Amino acid sequence: MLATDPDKGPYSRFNARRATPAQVATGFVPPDEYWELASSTDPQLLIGPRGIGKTTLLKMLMTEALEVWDHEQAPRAHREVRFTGAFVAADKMWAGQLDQLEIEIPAEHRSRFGVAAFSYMALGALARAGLARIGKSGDEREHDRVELSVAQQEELAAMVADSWHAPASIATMSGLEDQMGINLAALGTLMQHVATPGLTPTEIKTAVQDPLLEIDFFTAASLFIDLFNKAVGQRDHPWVILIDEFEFLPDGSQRQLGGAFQGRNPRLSFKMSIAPYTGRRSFAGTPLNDWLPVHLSRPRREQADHFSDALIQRQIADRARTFGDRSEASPTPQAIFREGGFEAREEDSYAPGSENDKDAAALAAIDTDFKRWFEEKIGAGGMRGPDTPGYNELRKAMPLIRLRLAYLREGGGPGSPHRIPELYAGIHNIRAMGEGNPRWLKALTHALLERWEGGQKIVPRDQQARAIQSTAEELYNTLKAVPIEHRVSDTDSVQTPAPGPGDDRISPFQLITRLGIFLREQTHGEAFRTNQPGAFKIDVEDPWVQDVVHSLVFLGALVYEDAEGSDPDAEAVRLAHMWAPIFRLLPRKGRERSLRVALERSAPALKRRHSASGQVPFPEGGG
Amino acid sequence: MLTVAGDSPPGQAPAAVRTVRIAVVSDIHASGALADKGDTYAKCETRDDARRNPLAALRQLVGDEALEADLLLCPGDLANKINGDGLEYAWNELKEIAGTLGARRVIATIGNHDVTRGEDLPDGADAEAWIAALRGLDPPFPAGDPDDARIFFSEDFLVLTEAPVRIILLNSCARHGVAGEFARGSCSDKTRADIEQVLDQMNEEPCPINILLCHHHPIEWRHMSPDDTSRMEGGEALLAMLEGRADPSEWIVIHGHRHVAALGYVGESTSAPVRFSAGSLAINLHTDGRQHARNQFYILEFELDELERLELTGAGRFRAWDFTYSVGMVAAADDSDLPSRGGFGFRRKKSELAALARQAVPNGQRSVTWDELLAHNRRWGYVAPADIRQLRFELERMGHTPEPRIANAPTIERIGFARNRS
Repeated sequence: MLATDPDKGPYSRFNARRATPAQVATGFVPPDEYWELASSTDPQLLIGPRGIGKTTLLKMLMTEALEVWDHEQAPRAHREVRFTGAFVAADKMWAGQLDQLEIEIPAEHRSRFGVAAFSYMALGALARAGLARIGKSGDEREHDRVELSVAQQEELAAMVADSWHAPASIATMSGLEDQMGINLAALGTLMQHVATPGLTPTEIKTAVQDPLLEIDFFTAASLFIDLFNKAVGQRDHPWVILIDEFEFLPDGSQRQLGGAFQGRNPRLSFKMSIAPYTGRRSFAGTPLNDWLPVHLSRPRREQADHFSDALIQRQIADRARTFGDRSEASPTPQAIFREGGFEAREEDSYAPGSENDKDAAALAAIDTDFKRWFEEKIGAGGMRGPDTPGYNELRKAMPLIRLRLAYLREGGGPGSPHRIPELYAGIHNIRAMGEGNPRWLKALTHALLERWEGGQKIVPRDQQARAIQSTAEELYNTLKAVPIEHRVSDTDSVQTPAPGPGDDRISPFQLITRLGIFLREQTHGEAFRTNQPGAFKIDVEDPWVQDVVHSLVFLGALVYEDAEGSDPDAEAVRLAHMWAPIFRLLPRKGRERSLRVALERSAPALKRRHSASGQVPFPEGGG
Repeated sequence: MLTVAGDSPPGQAPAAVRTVRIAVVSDIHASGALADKGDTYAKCETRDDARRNPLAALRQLVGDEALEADLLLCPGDLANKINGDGLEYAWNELKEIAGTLGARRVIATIGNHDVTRGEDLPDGADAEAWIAALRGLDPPFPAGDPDDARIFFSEDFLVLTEAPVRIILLNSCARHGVAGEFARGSCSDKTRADIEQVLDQMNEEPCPINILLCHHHPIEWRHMSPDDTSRMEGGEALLAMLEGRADPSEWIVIHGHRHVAALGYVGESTSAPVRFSAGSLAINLHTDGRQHARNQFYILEFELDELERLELTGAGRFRAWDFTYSVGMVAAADDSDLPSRGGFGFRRKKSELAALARQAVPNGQRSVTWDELLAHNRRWGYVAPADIRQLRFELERMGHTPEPRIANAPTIERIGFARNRS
């Protein structure tokens, strides 16, 4: 099982993990999956790669987010979310500390620390969720608010204090929330003590009898929920613990959540997010078997485009407001960015003298293999219309023709300029590169809209190309620093930094680079091929390489080549379209090739380009 | 008389609410020298950048929030390392900020960075060479009046009366023009005696607010800085003199120099002077080594009618703002040396405060909020942050729960009392 550090992944600045619910609600565009979560209190497993929006969707189920969400669909959310959501972010630092002390702390005690840590985090979230509902003012955006007097809060706090390991004098939800943080800190201190070298078994045994470890989350949570509901006159009101990043929960609590908490109180349920690309092929036969999966993966093209446009439109409206424009109708993404360079031109003609014809002729003049292909398919007489044999093949090949022409015109060799051609501008390319992933889209639009001057002005194509290039390069460079968690068994893993110089094992950055170079040479090599490769069958047997592949899918840098891009049982992957401008590729799918062969073939080319320092240089043409 | 009109019943003339506000800006360390680039944020070349220059940020804060003050005090170190451009820049900025605050005067005193050290003076330098930069400021340093300046530089102190405030302006750098004397502050026996004599002459015009403004801390700071040797020699004697006087209210000592804000009482009796150590507005605290301090600005507030009603003397409230580089001025955080709001002057042991708090709990409840404490007894607004911290410890010891549940917080939002405990 592999997991990469969420705080070091690409586009961390657009990570909802750090955002407040109110911040998350700003600009939120709901995908279909949001309504699946909103309308159900069943235990659900939200599955998707990094940046796809899992954290955002969970936070959008919280009272604080629902009350500030300004969107035409907000009333629907108010109607459909009939539970109180308590958000818990798995604390990777805590889990990391526990992992680091695994040798010092006996195994039978480690899981107790993990369960206790999760319990305090989740109870704190419950208190915060309760606090968010208290107090009615009559504002129409309030969501499920209740009245709870000071005396009632005091009573509730006093009654749960014992099971929450809080002082009996604690008086408020806020106090309870703070106290859970104090308990967590004390637990950490206890953990460090138990891990002290030289501690005798008797001393350890005494230490782990600390009451802090005797926390029964289910009982404590149920008591709070039932008392709160009774106090506000909503006896059957459900509460849902929203757990983000299940894979980072401390050891022990994962197993607990899988089965032990389920079904014991109808008013307590859970929703969890998880990244599926962890080596696990399915959850059958595991404690998560009974959870209803909600796949938040790269949607089908049509859905992705619709979602992308809605998200970008929202970003445009926000940006317009910074210019002082508060009108309802801000320009559309199409209006600002226009069409993509690889798409069919408005005048889609191949008649002699047309733009398409000129491009084909220009390429034929400098690309001998394309000329051979063209004459073979179309004939020496050239294109004369839709009835010309080879017309359909030429139409399909036009994007590739433009791409090769752009690079060959500009040099294309080792000394070629680092700027990407304007072909990569346009709304179609932006959608393709964003792939319906909110974080990727936000990163792209952030860079693009910095170059927008407001009103009905278009972002010039060269400016778009610069923005797209800088975004892609930034993302590409972050791959160098991503550590890899290499699962050595079903229940155990070791985190290792990405292999450095001198380490023979392939790193995520190297794998992407090799595949990218392979595809680039296929696209821009001597032979002109219309049936371009674009996917790689995962036919490597090395478990390390398999784990690297899956970790890259987890990051979104590779995409499973199945209908939805989410199936960990899929046998092929492709490069994310975000890399297209880095490696001079078309942002579209291609035929399947062997991953093993691609890596082998690209290795010599990569070695030739090694600099004196031994570092793999940035690929040419990528900046 | 400094007055502000207050609310009154319809048909009646507005009652005068006597509120005095005193802004405090300390240890600016302004500079125009490239060599000082890393030492201070108050640089001439960033004078208009409110995110990077605390003086610009302060100007913006005062304007944006319409802050008001009657006086603006500066306990010294306007310049960094006697940089002339910085000194002039800071003095002009103080003047401008005072204008925006509506303050009648800027009153400053000398810091060790505002004068040339004796050992650095050229041979044969004249007697005024070490303070030449200060003497050249316009309006005249330290208080805008040439006569005051003459007295201050010749006597090493000045007593000003801006009713209802009396201020002793002390030059604790009086000996810095002598080689070897730069390392510490001082208040000579003669200066102390002269101050006492002047105050005695003013006995017939008592003021309810008495302030000693100086640069160096008057007592040792060993608990915060074990190697501290730069305190004011003669400081304890000066404090003892002030404590022993029969003035209408306890003295408030406002000083800078240590770049760490602190508020407490220094002396032997419950009438000991209040010590307000101002943090630095603009020194780069990372290079200064003060990792837990913040750049701060303050306004002290004295609501005289309320203080009279509550029978409090030497008491007041404060507000504090933090400067954060690349952000600007914001209300001080709770973990800053001084929080955004607080008080001083109501001096009670922690056990007494705990008992007082218990009395304020509304019927039917077992907890009390800070606002309820204030409504029950306005004196709560004058409890010093250090005493609130002590109260927290006492409450926890007794099994009660102060909120927020943050250890060592200088504020209290609510106290939850355990059942059946006093």
